[in-house]
Amino acid sequence: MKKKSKRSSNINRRIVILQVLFFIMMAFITVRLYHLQILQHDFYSEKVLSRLPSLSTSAKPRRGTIYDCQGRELAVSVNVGSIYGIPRQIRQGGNFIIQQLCKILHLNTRRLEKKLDPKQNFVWIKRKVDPDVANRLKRLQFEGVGFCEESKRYFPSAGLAAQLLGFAGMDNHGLEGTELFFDELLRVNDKEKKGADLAKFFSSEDFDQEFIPFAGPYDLQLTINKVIQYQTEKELADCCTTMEAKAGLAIVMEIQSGEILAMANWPTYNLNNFSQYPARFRRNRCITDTFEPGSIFKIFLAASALEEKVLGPSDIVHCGNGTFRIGGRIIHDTHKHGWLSVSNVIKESSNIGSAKIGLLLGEEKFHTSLKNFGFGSKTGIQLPGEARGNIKPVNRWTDLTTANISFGQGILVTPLQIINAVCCLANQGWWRKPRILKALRNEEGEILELPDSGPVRRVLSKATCESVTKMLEMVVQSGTGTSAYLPGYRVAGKTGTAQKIDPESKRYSSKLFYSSFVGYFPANTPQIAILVSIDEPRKEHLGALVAAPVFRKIAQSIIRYQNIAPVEKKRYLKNQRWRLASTAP
Amino acid sequence: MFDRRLLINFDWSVLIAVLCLIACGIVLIYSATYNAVSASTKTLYIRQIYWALIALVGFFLTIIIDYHRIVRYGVALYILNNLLLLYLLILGSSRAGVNRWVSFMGISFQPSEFMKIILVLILAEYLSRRYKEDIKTREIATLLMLVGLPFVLVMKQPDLGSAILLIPIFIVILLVAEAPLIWLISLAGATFTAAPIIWRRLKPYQINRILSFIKPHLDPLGIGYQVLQSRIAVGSGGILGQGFLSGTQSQLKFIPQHHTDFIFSVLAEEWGFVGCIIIIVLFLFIILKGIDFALHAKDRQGTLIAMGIVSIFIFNVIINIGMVVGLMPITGIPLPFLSYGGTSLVSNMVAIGLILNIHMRRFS
Repeated sequence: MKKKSKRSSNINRRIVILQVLFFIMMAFITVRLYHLQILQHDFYSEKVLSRLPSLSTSAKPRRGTIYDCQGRELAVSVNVGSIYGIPRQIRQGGNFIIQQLCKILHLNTRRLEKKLDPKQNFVWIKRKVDPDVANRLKRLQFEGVGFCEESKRYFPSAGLAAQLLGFAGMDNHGLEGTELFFDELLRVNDKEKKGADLAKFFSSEDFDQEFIPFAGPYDLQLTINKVIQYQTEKELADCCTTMEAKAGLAIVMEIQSGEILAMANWPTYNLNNFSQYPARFRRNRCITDTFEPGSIFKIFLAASALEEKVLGPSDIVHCGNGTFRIGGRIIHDTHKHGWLSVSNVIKESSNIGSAKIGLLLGEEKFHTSLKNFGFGSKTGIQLPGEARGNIKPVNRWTDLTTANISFGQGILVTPLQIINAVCCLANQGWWRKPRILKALRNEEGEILELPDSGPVRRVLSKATCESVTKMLEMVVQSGTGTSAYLPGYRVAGKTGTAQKIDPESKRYSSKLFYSSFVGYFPANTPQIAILVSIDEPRKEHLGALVAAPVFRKIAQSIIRYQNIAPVEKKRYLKNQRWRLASTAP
Repeated sequence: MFDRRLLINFDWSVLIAVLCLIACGIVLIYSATYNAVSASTKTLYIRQIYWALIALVGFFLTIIIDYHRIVRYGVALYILNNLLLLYLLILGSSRAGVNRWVSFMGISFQPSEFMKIILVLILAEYLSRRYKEDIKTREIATLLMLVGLPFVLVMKQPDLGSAILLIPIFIVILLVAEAPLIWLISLAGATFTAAPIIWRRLKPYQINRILSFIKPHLDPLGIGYQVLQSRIAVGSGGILGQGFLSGTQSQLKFIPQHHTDFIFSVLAEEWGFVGCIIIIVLFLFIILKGIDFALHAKDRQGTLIAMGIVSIFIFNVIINIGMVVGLMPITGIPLPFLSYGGTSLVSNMVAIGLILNIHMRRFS
């Protein structure tokens, strides 16, 4: 008995210790509650209040503006009136109110009656109406009809860069293009969220730590130049209508910085009425569509062959007099050639010559080189829906594949990949990411310049780039691309006329073409690269006749606009003479 | 069979305190889900009322049967519950990435909630026949296995909070069973050494919760969001609160899970400091009564069970409220009687039934 009581008291002592510990912990919690709820109450109440305005219906903050590279507006938000109803109150006023509403707002009476379901507390009657109409209704003071200001997206230049910019829907959420990709930056959010968002869009290197995120939307400054974009779209549209093409696209890029100056699609649509156009109008074909590039792809073949030192520019291959049999197929040339130097293969755009160069280069090296140029992977441009194209894995390449890819068949690329790879060639072999966003600006006017992250990798040596540029200059001076020639300027470029697959016979068609021209200038210090691609032109089909003139016209307007100096007079005259001599019969 | 004396010895005050807490909980759930989008969430408070009725049935069943008899089923319940946990691991359907619920005849419940009580029963049963001198290496090893099995199974669900909660309950029972202090110290030491190993096996979100507790401002929208929002809710409550259905934080759904794990933030925001103190006093009352029952239990078994149950409440309450006010990291542990959740409510009522059971039969 004695023993038991001793044990029991020991137990009791331990229980009491536990009890004391419990009291201490509860005391901690109480002190903490006192601290939070009474001492810091004001601090936390303010935190709650600070976010309330964004939730009331009357003061919806605007969506960020989108500017071009020189601060001209591309997309803005304007305040317009929206009309809502409280069904129960409207019903008390009877049919009169509903009839009047329908008359003024041009609505269907029966549909509105159905909409005003008495079980609902809030119904939109009509959103984003003309301010005049809203004011007229306001004066009538109907019971249960309310007004609020909403912001509506407005595109001052209607269809300009439509596929690139995209649009925002009724609730001001971005649905396409930059409006979609940068939606979170353009939208209103609280301060903390901004910090997180910026980190999502930019890697830590391009994110300036000093920049303090703030509440409210960001304005975007794109690399697009409104003037160049306009000229590009105009020339593209002219060409597409005269050639009765199915579609067309053009991209203008600044070579050194990788900035996209213009990205045009035809047919285009009016962003202010986006809902009236079918979805195919809205696609930004420059990045979402893949195509077989055709002869323009020979640029990359020549560059790879020279870089790997398989052949020199003046080494010769035999072009089989117009036919070449490989892997059970026969490759044809439009003109019959015998022995041609590598330069002349490019200049004359010989398919057979290219196929032979490709075979000499070998599939392994060719494949690696194409991968390095960025084919088969996304360029990483900050736009939604970029396609990656398609290159067969190298272990599935046959000699026929190698030969075909050498002149741009049997490979799928996006227009952006092509022009970006050309920029790489023009930029002394440095590959870099194309840029679309130049800077961000907050409401206080602070500007966050997005620093250039620089080139990603070196694909070609300087010597290779110079040799290939020389070849491409020859193309424009005396080869297939003479209609891209600009008097006084050194232009490098390449035409391409790719056969499309006939959707019915599933074979290469002899009627459907994809005509392209890609080039850059001035060839000695490349500044601007331009790609023009016309899908299924009907009047003419050769890239030289369809796309090259568009290139020339766009280039001319850029030269005028940016004041790009011509080469010295002496040299210009010499070139002219040489040109006359070489084109003489 | 049912002795009239038992009715006299029944402690009504504890039951009334518990019923007050449940009523408050239903009101808070109603408020927390008032602005919910889906109708099924809006009517959660009605489901909580049904669960409260089921819990009351469970409570009366528990007090009718003598706790000595209940303890005898301990082993069977223990095995059954572990089998259910194992079943969950292998075949369980996952809800929000975790396998915590078993569905039986249309009702789904979490076996891990009952595990705590069953563990208390089985440990109390095992230790009630072994005194201070009897607790040696072999006994400790057996006990460790008894706790380790459900610990691992619950941890794998994954429900880190409920699993870790088993450890302090185990330690309290050992302490009350007069286990030599050397064992308790070495157990604590072992837990500390095991911590880094467990840390490495944690899921990323679990690591985030701990990091966000230490530094919520690191990523205020990501991992620190809940911690900060909950702190704002509590702080904006003030002395008297913002009133029923007027809490901005909880009404505007800034806090995820505010009808379950974060119900206390709704309380703090809408009813203020005064409301919080009233609820804390109610918990304090129940727990102190429980300790009192333990001290005056008829036998060693009764004391052990009562203290085990009390420790369940202590740790649940402290970890949950500590989490809401930012003193503890976020763990998915509900607040007894207040949080929405049927299994939790039933198991807590059964637990209350057990300690009242022990109290009623202290003389017989």
